[in-house]
Amino acid sequence: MRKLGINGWIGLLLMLVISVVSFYPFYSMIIMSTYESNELYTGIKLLPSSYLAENWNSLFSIDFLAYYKNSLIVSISTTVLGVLVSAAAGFAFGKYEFRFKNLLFVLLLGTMMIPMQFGIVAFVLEMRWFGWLNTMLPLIIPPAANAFGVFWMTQFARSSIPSEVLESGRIDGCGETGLFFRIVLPFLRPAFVTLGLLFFLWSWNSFFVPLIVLNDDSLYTIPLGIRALAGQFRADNAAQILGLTLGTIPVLLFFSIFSKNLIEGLASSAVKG
Amino acid sequence: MSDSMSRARKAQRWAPYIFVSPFFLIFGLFSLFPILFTLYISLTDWSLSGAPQWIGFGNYAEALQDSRFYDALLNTVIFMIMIIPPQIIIALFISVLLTSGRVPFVGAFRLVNFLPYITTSVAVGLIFGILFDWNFGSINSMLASLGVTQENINWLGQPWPSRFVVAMVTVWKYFGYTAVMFLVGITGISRQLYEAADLDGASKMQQFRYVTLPMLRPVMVFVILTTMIGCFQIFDEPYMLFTGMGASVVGGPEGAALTGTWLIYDNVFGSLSRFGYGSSIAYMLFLFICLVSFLTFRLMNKGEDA
Repeated sequence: MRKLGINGWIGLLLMLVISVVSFYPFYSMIIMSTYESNELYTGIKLLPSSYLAENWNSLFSIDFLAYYKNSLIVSISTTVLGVLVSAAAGFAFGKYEFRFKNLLFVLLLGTMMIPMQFGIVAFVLEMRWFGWLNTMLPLIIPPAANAFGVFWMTQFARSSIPSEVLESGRIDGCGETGLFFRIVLPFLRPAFVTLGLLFFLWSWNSFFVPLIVLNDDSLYTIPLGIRALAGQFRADNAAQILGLTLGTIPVLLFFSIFSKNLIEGLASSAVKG
Repeated sequence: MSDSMSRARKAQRWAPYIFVSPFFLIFGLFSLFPILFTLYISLTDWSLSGAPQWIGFGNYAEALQDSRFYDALLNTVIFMIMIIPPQIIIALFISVLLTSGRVPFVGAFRLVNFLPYITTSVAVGLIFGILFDWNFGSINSMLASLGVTQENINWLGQPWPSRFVVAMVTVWKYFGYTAVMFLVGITGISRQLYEAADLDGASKMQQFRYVTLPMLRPVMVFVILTTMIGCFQIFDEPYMLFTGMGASVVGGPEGAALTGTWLIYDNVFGSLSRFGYGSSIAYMLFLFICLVSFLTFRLMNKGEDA
């Protein structure tokens, strides 16, 4: 590290200000979960209060653990499925030559720009025909096909799986599916971390689609369950906030552990292209 | 032997199609098909109970008369203007500083500025709703104690303050993610370019202007386009801000925070259940976004020729 000049100090100071602004609402969330609901609206809170246990009790008097369990089922399933689907397609785009490859890849990149909201009406009708409304399937299967995920895995597969290893696998009599599971997946492991993290995050925090496809509150995921808490019972904001804080812990943990991998992973793969 | 060889070669020819098929199957069924089928629905009159009635462009004609459609269009543009510049400036600033090698605690700064992105939108809406509360929120008491304001601002009860809050929340949530994009871009720039610029005596500012910015152009185009499209999608946070705590104001005060997604949601899944009409709005907004993206793309590439 070189010495900070005057510009460096100003930069660092601005950086600190931005970080405080970035951190304050997040910190507030944690602190607010220790207050009584009607105290939330009285001035700036920097220190925790003593109401955590009561909020905890009101939160767990509803079926908060069920929401947690639903969120885990949905997010873990989407993550595993999404990473596998992306890895398979990424392997094909990165390591094979085949007809329509470029056309399909351009199609893939194009779709990264189109949000699913544009087709939401037909999507919901489709879910109704399939009998998938009020099930977890619309939250698990459709998000598993993610164009960014395939793009990501393609870049990684191209640069990090040596073609010689694939060839020697074939000479040893390994079939193509065997190659994928026995050779390709282990090589792609570093890319799994980053992509898995993103899949998990998107699924865990998803609100719009669950809001539309789920009616039965026994299937609610955390964001939906917490929102319902406002309507069903008294508007116990503090208990809601405690629920959201508890709901943030898994992603926070993952990201603190893997944030270095995430950024370096993005840097090593996405741009080199 | 030769038989098994040719079978292996055949397998090798078919394998890539099999490997891409799960993606394209799921994608086709749940993304592409709905988008195409929405076009058909938009040409019908269809509600919850009945069957679809073909009405041609009737829904489109109706939407063009609908003041809420124009609200959504206008709000999308307003949010583009309020969100994109600050988001890019803050993200650029952070990414340049964190890659300069002059700032300590890079890892900590990176994590802290990424925290908003990992926070669920329901929490974001709820927390900001409390912070920006008219009578008792921290923001108003902070502004008052600093002597900036004489009386409390009704942040969530008036059109422009509401838009400001929504824009602020969105920038707050996504600038860390944008900064990662820029970080990735900057890390990819060859060190030699900076060394050459150093030898030519270019200052840090000049290096930023003549090396970093031009080399970041592809990332910049990507970020601007996705943020623009994102402005149409804004939904979760304002939905929580304006309907989360009892009150039920679709689109915020006077429709000031009504975005494309919210308008579709309200027409189709709100009280109305008008599938056809909601679909026509989706398609008109889609065309609008395509047009704006295309113009932006042209404009940015023109800058490169000059």
